[in-house]
Amino acid sequence: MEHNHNEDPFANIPRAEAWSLVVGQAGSIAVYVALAFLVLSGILYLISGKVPKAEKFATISFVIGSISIFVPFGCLLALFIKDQFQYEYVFSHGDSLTELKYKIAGVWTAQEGSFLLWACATSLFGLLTIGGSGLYRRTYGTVFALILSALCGILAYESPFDLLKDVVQKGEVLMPPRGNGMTPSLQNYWVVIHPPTIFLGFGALTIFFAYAVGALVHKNAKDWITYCRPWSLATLAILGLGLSMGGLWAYETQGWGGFWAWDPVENVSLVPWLLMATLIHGIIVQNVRGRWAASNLIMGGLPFLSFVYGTFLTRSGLLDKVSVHSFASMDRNALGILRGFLIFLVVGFIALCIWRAKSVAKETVKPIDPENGISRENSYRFGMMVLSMLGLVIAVGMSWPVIAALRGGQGARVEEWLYHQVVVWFFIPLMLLMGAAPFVSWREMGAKALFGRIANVLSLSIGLTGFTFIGLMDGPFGVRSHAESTVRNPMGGTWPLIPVLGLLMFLCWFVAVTGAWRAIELAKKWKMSVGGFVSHLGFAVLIGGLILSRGMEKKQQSFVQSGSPASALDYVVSFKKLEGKDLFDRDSKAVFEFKDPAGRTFDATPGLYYYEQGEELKTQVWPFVKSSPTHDVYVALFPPVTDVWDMPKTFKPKEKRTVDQITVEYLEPTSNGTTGVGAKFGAKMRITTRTGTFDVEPQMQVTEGGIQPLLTPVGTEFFAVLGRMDAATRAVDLKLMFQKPLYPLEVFYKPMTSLVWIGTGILTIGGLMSAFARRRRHSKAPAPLSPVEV
Amino acid sequence: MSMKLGPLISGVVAATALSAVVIAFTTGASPYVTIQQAKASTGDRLHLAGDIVKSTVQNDVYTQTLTFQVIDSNGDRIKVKHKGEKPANLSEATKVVAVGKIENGEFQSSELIVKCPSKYEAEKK
Repeated sequence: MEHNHNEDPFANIPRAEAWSLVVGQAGSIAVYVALAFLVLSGILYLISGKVPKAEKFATISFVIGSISIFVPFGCLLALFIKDQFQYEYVFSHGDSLTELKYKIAGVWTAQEGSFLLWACATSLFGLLTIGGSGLYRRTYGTVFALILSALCGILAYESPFDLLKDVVQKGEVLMPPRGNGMTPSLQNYWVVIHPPTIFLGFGALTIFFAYAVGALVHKNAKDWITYCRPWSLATLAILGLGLSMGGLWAYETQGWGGFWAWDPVENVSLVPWLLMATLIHGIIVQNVRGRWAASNLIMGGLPFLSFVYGTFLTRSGLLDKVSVHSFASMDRNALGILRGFLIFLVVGFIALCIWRAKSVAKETVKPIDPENGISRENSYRFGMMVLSMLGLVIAVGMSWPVIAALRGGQGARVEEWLYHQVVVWFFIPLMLLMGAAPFVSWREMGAKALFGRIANVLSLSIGLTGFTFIGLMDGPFGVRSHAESTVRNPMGGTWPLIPVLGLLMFLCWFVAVTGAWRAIELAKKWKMSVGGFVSHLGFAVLIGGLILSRGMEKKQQSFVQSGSPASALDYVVSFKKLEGKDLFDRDSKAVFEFKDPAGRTFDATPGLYYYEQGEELKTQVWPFVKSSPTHDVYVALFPPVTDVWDMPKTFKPKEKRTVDQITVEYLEPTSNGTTGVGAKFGAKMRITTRTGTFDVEPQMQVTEGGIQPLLTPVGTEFFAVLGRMDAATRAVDLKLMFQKPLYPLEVFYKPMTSLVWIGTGILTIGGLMSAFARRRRHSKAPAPLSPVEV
Repeated sequence: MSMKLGPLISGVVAATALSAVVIAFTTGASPYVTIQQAKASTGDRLHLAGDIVKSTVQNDVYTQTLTFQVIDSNGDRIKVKHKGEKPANLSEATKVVAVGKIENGEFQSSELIVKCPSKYEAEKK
């Protein structure tokens, strides 16, 4: 075929269709439109105190601005679904061959998209709540509009609508046919459902911040808690669900056999959850007793501020060394906006609290005498203190690398064992309170009266703890097998594991039994607070599952080769086969047989497939989990080892060298046949391995498709493969491969992981039940000073 | 005055707890160390960050032990020995954080955290 060199080199590459460029433009422009309307809305709300007419326009522009934020989201979604790879973001995270659900999830797999998701969730809650913000509406609107404007500002710089470099040629936009695709390790159903859930929770945090500021500005610390109570319950439930989903995601895909790693990114979402839980309990006290209004005002702002702080911390690159989540460094201007935004919010909020909180709170006190003995109020105070302190401690822990670096040196990292050691001192009083406080009345009561009320629950809990341990006593992984296990204690020594687990299990039972007991009592009376106790029950079940599955975990590493079974924990593991269309099939599995001492077997089928990244062949592995109600057997497969050496090694003729305990002597080069197709080149070698010395002649053959290496067995263990021969010096690149690939496995035995799933479910249902029970009924809503026009 | 008793106790407990936590973090957090500091330390969860010397990477196929040299920010070198699962992306990694302790002048690593130049997260200006 004649080749015309004057032809356009890009002739065969498709052009981007006009609509796609319009959509991208629309997405970019909509961010600025949203920004303009939101800034305008903020200003109008601000002046509407003096100019009442402005309020109507403020609300209109708030609604337009908020809706505009969904436009870039929709545009980006369309570009992903229609494979418009001329856009850098779509190119980097999308691929035409992936399933639709991953194209959709592509929108939020990276930094720009997650900010967009945050902005959309925030504006959704803005739209839902602005109309009901009653007498706080001016400040509420101002604050909400300001926060959304800042997010738009960040999005303006962190735009997902930039075209790929060099894609514009001679005024035309080329469209690459394929994209990079989402990182394979993310391609799992959780990437579709976890981020939207947790960001919905993050977006809702703005509500409480804006109300708290509104309450301070309007000098009314009373009504805001009624306005935001149902939202706070729903937010806690959604955030909790999002957190649990994140843990389950890690468990199912990461291969380290756990739910929670105290990674900074995980902590960033846990801290607002803890602070929200504190706020909710504070709201209860203020509702019943009219007290603690000042601390509630502060607690209202903290969940949102802690989230903005955490976002800044993880995105700023300050934690690069410690997080498993890697983030692209943010656009400098966008990071600047985030930093300025954080400082402004924190300083402004603190100043406002100092100025107003105390005096505003005075108005709310109901004429009831405070008590000093054991009363529900005092229990709540202590519980809330412990909860918020726990949030603070975790925030300090996740900032520790930065704090330690500021103190000199290269910094330090708080690891899992240290978190556990510190957290447990807050966990114990917290659980005792969750178990006991629901039986304490608001009136002061003596220790004796209280004990009388909780004696049944206490003895039931102790009994159930005993039964738990008897149930888990025997078997190769039971309590007995942990007789020697220890945990670190704060004095630098160790404690035996089982008594520590016994105490923790008792606490979980105590909270669970109390929760169930009170929930049943209240359900009989059709009380609204049932949901709260259902949540407590769910929390105890979830935490119990986390503690047992981690505390009594056993793990062992093992290397399995076809034909040579290995032992792991109590199982004999043998490799059976690879299953799947081909090695590139995403559904390919490696099948291993697990046999226990009684001879019972099951097949473990961890996922294993290959993909190409640039020139390189990469391996993707997925763990396999065999679940049962009592325990999980968790099998993490690591990429099979086929190459003995990472890189081929070069040998010159007559050279003798030992590499990784294998001695190679290159005796002489050989050739067979003339040049041209069919000719063979080889190298006579003497290779000494653990199993013996072998004289071999690995060869390469010239074929029509190029030079092909021939696999030459070295004993029964390895293949020798020639990579390249230097024509002048006759030096060769030698590669040694295992004849049977080595499968590295890590096998975990984890008791009672089913509780993690069950607990998550109960916790979420309980939270949503409370939110539903406390929803604002229009007839009962506190009368706003004036009706709100929307 | 009795009215203030509850908050007072809470305040004292909170302050004590927070100081205890700060002390625990100060003494317990696993430090990032240079090779010089590592050699002087008896900690068993030291975090040693540095560049991998590619040519020194050796993998003992029989015992699944990985050894390589690391150069830290001061330019010092040390041999790191890691037994067990090899990080999948070690061959592309240039920087590594080895977690472990000093034994016989070598760094015994129990965990390797590798940093790879990822193509998925492109650098921005």
